Amino acid sequence: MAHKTTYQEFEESSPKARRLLREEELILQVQEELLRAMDEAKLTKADLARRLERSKGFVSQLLSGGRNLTVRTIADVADALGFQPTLQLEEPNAALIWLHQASASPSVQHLTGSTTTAFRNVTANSTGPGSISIPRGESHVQTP
Amino acid sequence: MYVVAASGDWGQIVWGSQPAYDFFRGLHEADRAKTIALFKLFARVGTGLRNKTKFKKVQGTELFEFKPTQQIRFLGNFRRRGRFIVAAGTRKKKWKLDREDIDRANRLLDAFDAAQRGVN
Repeated sequence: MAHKTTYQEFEESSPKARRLLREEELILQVQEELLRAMDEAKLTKADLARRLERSKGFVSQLLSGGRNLTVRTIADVADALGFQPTLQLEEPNAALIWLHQASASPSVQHLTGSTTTAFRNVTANSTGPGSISIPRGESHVQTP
Repeated sequence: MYVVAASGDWGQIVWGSQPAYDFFRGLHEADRAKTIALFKLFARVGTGLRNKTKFKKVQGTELFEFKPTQQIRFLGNFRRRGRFIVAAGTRKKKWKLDREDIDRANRLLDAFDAAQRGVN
């Protein structure tokens, strides 16, 4: 029988520990997704700061975890990058946040069973549980 | 024999020393959550991790560090494909690591390697 990983032990240690873990996983995943979107948009932190009309320090704090990300901030940053966030809730260790091109409406989906399995396959290269996806934006994004 | 901290598509994060594991266990629950979430993400994506404030090479050394919070660091290195060994944990109030922390991590990593070879 395989030993449990520290991750599994922590996850199963208490409901509070599991909640804390899910919060941190989501924060990390949002940061990774925003950084991916920045890379894709070929924008620097300075570029993003200009688009958001905020300081570069503000952007650095957002992307490094030094500042709490609100849902509004995520939407603002995604929009500034030319993306649109979409939230999908899944069973543990499968949920994802994506940044999609902004042609589709924001959506919240609850995926279970075979749908979840298919989604997992599609997102095999994702950063992990709990996901926000951000579709690419259109004309509402202005290039500085 | 070793304890796996987290595993994923990329590989495993392994506790390479008892002091590193004890340091982790001594952290507040919230900091343990931040640490283990970061390890899990790294186990999934490996060096594809984009957030360079969370994982980076320690300048002037062969070591790498995880930085789950501003003050908490975990030092270690890669061993064969898809495995990262966490050798030491430390809490720093300043950005730069002390030589002492680096030397300690290297010693613990050497001890891990020796144990794996069956020398110890």
